[in-house]
Amino acid sequence: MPRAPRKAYWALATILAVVAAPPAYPESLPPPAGRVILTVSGALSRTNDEAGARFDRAMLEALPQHALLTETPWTDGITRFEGPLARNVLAAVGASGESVRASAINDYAVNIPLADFEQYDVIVALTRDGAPMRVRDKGPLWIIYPWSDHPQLRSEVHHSRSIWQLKALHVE
Amino acid sequence: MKPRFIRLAYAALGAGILISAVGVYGVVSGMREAAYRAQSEFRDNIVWFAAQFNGELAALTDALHDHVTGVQPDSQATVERFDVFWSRLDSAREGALGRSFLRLPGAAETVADAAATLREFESTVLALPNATSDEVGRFVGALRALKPRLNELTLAALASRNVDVAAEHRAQREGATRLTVLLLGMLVLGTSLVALLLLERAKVAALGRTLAMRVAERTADLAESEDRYRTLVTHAPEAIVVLDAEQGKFIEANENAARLFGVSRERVLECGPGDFSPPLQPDGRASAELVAERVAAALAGEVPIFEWLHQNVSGERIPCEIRLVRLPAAGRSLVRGSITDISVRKRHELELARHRERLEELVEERTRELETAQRDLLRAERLAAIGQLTGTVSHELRNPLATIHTSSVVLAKRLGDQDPSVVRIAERITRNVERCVGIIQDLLDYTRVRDLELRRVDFDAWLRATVADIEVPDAVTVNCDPRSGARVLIDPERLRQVMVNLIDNAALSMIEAPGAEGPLRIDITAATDGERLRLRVADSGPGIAEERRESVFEPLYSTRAFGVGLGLPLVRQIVEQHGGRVELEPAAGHGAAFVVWLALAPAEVAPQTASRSGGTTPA
Repeated sequence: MPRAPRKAYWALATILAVVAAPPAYPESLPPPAGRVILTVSGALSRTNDEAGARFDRAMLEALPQHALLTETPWTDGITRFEGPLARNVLAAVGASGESVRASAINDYAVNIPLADFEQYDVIVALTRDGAPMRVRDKGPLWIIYPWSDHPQLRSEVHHSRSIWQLKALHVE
Repeated sequence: MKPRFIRLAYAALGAGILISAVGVYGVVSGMREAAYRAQSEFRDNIVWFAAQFNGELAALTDALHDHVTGVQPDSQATVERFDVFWSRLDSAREGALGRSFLRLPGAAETVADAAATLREFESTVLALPNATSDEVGRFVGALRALKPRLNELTLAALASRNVDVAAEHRAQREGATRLTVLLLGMLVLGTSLVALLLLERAKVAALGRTLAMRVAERTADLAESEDRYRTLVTHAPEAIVVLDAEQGKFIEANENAARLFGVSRERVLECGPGDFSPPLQPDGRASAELVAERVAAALAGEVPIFEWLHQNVSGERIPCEIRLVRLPAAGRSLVRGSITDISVRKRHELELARHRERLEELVEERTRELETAQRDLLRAERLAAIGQLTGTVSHELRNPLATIHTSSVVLAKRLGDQDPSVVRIAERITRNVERCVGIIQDLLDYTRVRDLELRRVDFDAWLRATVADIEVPDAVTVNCDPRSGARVLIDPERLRQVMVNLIDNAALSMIEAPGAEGPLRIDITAATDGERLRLRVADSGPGIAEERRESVFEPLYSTRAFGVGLGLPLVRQIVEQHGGRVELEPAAGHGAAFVVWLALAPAEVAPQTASRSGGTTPA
């Protein structure tokens, strides 16, 4: 029965998100110590740079991690992805808006409604099958939807929102 | 229903299941793939994928070109572009989308060549910004050579829309085929199931018909058997009941049982054996106790047969014979009783027993009569001899004896004065002549039976007078003490003879007995005993020897020197002529005692003449 522990995990994650989130985030984000891999811009309340909020790998790893087991059109079999929930990343920067424009290293860009992140446990994957992803492996970040848990997400629209080699998010 | 058909139907069923399973598997797997294909909207993706390929190649080429020209070269960005293009090549080898892309004509070769180029120049890129312009230029050249091929792929991807339509048609055809297989399997399955069902139903129906027929036959048999049984039981000659031993009630009874107990059959079924039995049986035991005992024996498997006294509703007791037998019955203790009324048999048995008794009595009586007749005949023969002798001898002797008697009297008168001894002699002659005459008289009396002249007399008075007149020797004392108070019808003269003979006999037996001493007594008593008179004459003599007791009343039997042996036979003759009886008392101590039984005189009977019965009368 994999559902029950997962539910428990969800419950735990939700509690952490709801209870621990407000006091956990100070007014300003600490500046990134390492190489920046994600830049969030747009309507944010908490930033650490003029451009917005810049994250290195350690900052993203410091957020509560969430694991997803799912199939994707670009991988074979069930793959384990792990990383912070997209809504938690946006919460960490005090984002407010309707959607976010995600852009990738390969110049691909797509608009994602914030509702997706609220409704589903969409993660900003840091690892694939336990290993960090290089640019060659569609890293360093990859927006992953829980397709296996929600078959209704298996659509061209959601596939197109699953952006890999993610480098920036602009909240609108 | 041939078993071959059923085997065939089962085989078809198995085949149907197999085909259906294959069909289901095909449809499901087809649906899975089709679903994913449809949901992923491959056609657009592939076009987009090819376009991205092209774009990413262009970006990498541009970045490298900056290094060759030296215009704002950004090594990190170039490496990123290199990695991005590498990842694009990788994604063509992985996932459903990649596989679809590789299906484009020439895609696999192009991808392989591109990957080889990237591997070849990876070190060059990683060496940036220190790599030689030549090296970078060569890499750019190699990439530019790939560009038209990737353009072709993009065009092919656009063209693949049609390919995909064809593929979809093919997939649809495959799906239809799989579906057809499934439906066919289902059809075979269904048909064989229906066929099987029909076959089984027909079998069951046939079985049902057979069963119904058998049930009907058995029912008819049972009904017939029950009819037979009912006829047997109802018209059985005996009464038949079935007892439920636990409830103590009859649960079956035939008409004869109802008749025997004198109630209706319905009433019998409300009762038990105790209701039709007296409280006690003839042997004194309680009926209830005996019933329990016999029923228990029957339930134990015995077949008790016994006699029983039943009592019908009107209290009449009926002797019966009962035979009990256990009836087979599941969960119940049933005992069948067949009751036979044996009252007629009992009556017959009683009568038979009575008849047998009576027959024995008759035989004894006849035997006795025969013996008497035999004895009488013997006596009559002797009497006949005596009679003949007496007839001649008495006449021949009487005259000479009378002459001798007269002569001796004359002789005594003439010579008595001269010689007194002559007188003694003459008297001895006279006495002996008288004895001879007496003997002759006895003989005549015995042989010539005269009719009795009966008179009603006071027996005691007559006896005293008679006994007093009888002379006895001086040595003998006669003690006559009659106390009968009876009146009898007798011939006094003849009965006097009886007394004379009995007293003479007693006196002589005492006197003649050797060594006779002490007082010689004759005791005469008389008393009534019921309807009879008992006269007893007893002496104090030596008694009569055992071997002689049988013969004392026989004529011509005498132990004495003197006498012809007619005294006691005459006594018997006279007593019997009176309808009486004389007997010798059994020996008790000493002395002999004769007892004479005579009938008492009927109160109002006038004197009459009794004639002698039996015997022969001499001429």
